[in-house]
Amino acid sequence: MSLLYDLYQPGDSWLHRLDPRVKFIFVLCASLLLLLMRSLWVMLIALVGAQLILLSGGISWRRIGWVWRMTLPTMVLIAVLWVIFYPGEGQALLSWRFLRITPYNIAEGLAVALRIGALAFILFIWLFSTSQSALIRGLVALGLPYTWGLTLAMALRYLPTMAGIFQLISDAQRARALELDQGNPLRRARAHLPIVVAMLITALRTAQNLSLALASRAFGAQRKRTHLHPLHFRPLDGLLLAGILLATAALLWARLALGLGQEPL
Amino acid sequence: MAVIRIEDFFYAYPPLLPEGQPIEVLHGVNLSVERGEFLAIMGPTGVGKTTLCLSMNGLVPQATGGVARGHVVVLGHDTRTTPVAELATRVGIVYQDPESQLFCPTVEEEVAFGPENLGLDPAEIAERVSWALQVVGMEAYRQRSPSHLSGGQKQRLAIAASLAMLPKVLILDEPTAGLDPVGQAEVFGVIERLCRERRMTIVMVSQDAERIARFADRLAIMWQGRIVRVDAPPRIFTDQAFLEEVGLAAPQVSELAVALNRRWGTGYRFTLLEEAEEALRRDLRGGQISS
Repeated sequence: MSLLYDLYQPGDSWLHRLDPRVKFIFVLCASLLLLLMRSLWVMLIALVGAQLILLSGGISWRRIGWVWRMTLPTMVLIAVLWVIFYPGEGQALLSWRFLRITPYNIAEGLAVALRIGALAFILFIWLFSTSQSALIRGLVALGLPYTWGLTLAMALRYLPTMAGIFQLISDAQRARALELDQGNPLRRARAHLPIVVAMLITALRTAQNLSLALASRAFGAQRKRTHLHPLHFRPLDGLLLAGILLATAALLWARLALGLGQEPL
Repeated sequence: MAVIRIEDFFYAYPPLLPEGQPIEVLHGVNLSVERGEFLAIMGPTGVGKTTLCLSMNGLVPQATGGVARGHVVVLGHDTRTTPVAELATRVGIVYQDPESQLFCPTVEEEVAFGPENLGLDPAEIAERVSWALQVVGMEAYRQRSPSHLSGGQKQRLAIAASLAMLPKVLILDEPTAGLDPVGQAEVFGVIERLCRERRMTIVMVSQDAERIARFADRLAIMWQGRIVRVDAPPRIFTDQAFLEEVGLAAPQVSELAVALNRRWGTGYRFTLLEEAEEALRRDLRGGQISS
């Protein structure tokens, strides 16, 4: 199955055992700090740190490579465009018409690009090491209504199913001479119309059957559901959470009061 | 004692368009199912078999809306007035399409979903999950994703998910439709065990005449929104004229009996392969028929 549909890598590392709520709060705090800071060095440290966390958590090189393949083109594009369209301060290394390349805008472009990579990797620390159900349970424990959590879980569950149905309908329509890859983009989009209609009908039927299946398994019987594997907040989770919150508060103060990480270089 | 009692049950689905007419499906169904009985339901497509199944756990009319008259009483509870969530602890249902009834990321979570909804203690949920998976022979697949299972395994999992609610009645709506022979055998193996070892009351819609002849205590035939006949499977499967009238096929071995009777003027009425084998061996040895 594609990684896109099945992000979780089963395991029993410290990262896997960590409470999903702690991981989620870490993602929020780290993202906030990364968005507030502009320093190339901070971004570099965050990116390297995220790799180390992933590797120490037993996440495979294959998955890490997958994230790199997904983010690297965007990172390169952002770095290049930034340097071209945002004239930098200070002495120019190259100046030609509107183009003005300086060490400052190169550092700024690199910092923005690395920030995208760091944000992605920090998010994937959570997604690669947390099973879908633990992820939802964590969010529900943090206050998300269970029905929302269930909806999210089902959306993730049915992604590959719907992709399979799309492929099936496309193949069936192709077998009846429907040309999906011919002509301009508008023509191609119109050619997909019969598939979209069939997909919609299938999705509606699946949703109806699903609602019957949910009802017949006592969904909504109790206001408070229980869980086969309830979340256990261990002392280590508490310690890590306190560390994350303290570090975030300290870095926030340093950023806002002392201007830490304010400049790209 | 009747566990399920259906009296003059009429049902029409709500119209598809606001100004349309209700879609009548069931026209006065009468049926009763005894405790520990395995009742099979057969009938052509579109006669209301699924609707009848849904009426037994209250989804029709509580979830579907529409117009209902008459009574469907399961274990003393009128399914039109008892909440579906409450009925779910008494009546388990397995649908035809496994894809739309399995929605959890792992097998064990799928089975735990129902007990979790009841707010049970995690230890009891774990006990029920283990028991239900053991009954259907799926303990080894606990951590597997349901989407990675075969069709037969998916239906066994759907049965386990129902069993975890500890229902007294299990309703199966064509659970083997679309499965390969191995998958069909797996599902029927579980159903047979539930009948033989646990004496569970089972109502199953199926078109598998061979297996109905083998396992079912009684067979109900649905035709045009009504139950037109309830009888022992051998009596129905040897009534060729009736089967032709309602558009159903008998087990192949019963059709063989009809062909032999036509050819040799014999009076065979077998519905199982073993019965046919025994009768034909006996008559070949005795010289009543010749090869």
